[in-house]
Amino acid sequence: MNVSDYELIERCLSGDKNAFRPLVEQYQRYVFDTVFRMVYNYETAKDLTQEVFMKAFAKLHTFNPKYTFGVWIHRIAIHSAIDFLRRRKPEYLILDNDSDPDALPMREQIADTSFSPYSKVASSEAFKRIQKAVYELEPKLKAVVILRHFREMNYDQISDVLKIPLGTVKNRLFRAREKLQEVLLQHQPSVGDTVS
Amino acid sequence: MKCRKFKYWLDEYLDGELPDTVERDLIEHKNSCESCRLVFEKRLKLFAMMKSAKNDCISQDLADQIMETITAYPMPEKIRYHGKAILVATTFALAVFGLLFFTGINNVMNGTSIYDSAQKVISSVHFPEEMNRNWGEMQGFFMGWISASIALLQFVASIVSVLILEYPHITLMVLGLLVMAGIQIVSGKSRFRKSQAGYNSKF
Ligand SMILES: [Zn+2]
Repeated sequence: MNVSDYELIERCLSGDKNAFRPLVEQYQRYVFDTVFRMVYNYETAKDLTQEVFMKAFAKLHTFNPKYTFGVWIHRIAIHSAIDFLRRRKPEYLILDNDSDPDALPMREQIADTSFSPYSKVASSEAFKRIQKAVYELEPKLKAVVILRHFREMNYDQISDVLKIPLGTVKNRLFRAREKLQEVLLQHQPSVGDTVS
Repeated sequence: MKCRKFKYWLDEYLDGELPDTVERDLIEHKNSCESCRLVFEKRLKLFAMMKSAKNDCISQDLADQIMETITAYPMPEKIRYHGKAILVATTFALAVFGLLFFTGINNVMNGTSIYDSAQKVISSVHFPEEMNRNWGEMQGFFMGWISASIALLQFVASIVSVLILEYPHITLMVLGLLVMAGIQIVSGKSRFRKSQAGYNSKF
């Protein structure tokens, strides 16, 4: 049996810093992925991930056991990312992804992953197109899409992470998907159609 | 089911959050309405695209780096874990206050005025005159402060009891609200254990 997150938090709070490591190990890739998709910049996502876990550790005593650690750390992650997007400099805006060297590590990784039924090149292109479409959503719509589609959270969990009512979760998801559909399926033939 | 409603329920259906009964209606409508079938298929395509882009994009393990900063960071506070101590202290404080409260009421009933109580507070404090005091003076000093604190509590209690006698509704309402707030704080601390059993999801 695994030690539960709650036990680990309890051990952290009673002075055992090493009890935080399993929590970091378990959640850092999800947190990184979430903030990366929010800010779409590799280095920034790395810094933000670090910052998120620092904040979590510093505020551990405020952890409300009503939520799971996963939900709680994602709340910090989304907040940090939205905060970053708000106060970033205008030149940070990525208008042309092909000239953004920071996004490279991900692209390389994607090229190694085969997405059936797409070819490797096509999957990388498709991935970039989807990623960009998500990135260009306004932050609060982007957050629900990421939590639902990439973190696979249910409505309750999303409502806990963002501290918004269930109805607002549904509404934002609907609006986000309408926009994504417009960008991804309306103007260009869909990726699925181009590959047989 | 109307077409507008179909669009509304569709996302919930694809998210697996729709009740079975509505699900049946939705499928029925999809099979009988051509335009909604197209709406359905388009949305399904979007979901498939999102799924294809779900792969984690991390290419580097940040755990060591994160733990390094955390090791250098001071320990977090333990406020949440003092629930029991807070409960004991609150109970004790309430008991003391209750006792003093009734002596306060007693004072008021016996005609001792608030000013007399205040006088008692002031008179029981005596400041040591010099820095090099002997042990007896020290004892007197601390005893003085202790009896002053008790007298002060009695003083507050007499004020509260006068307030209750003069404005019973308002005072009892305020006291009730204070007690409720106290209970809320104490019970909030004890949720920790309860929710452990229900933990099983990834998040
Ligand atoms: Zn219809």
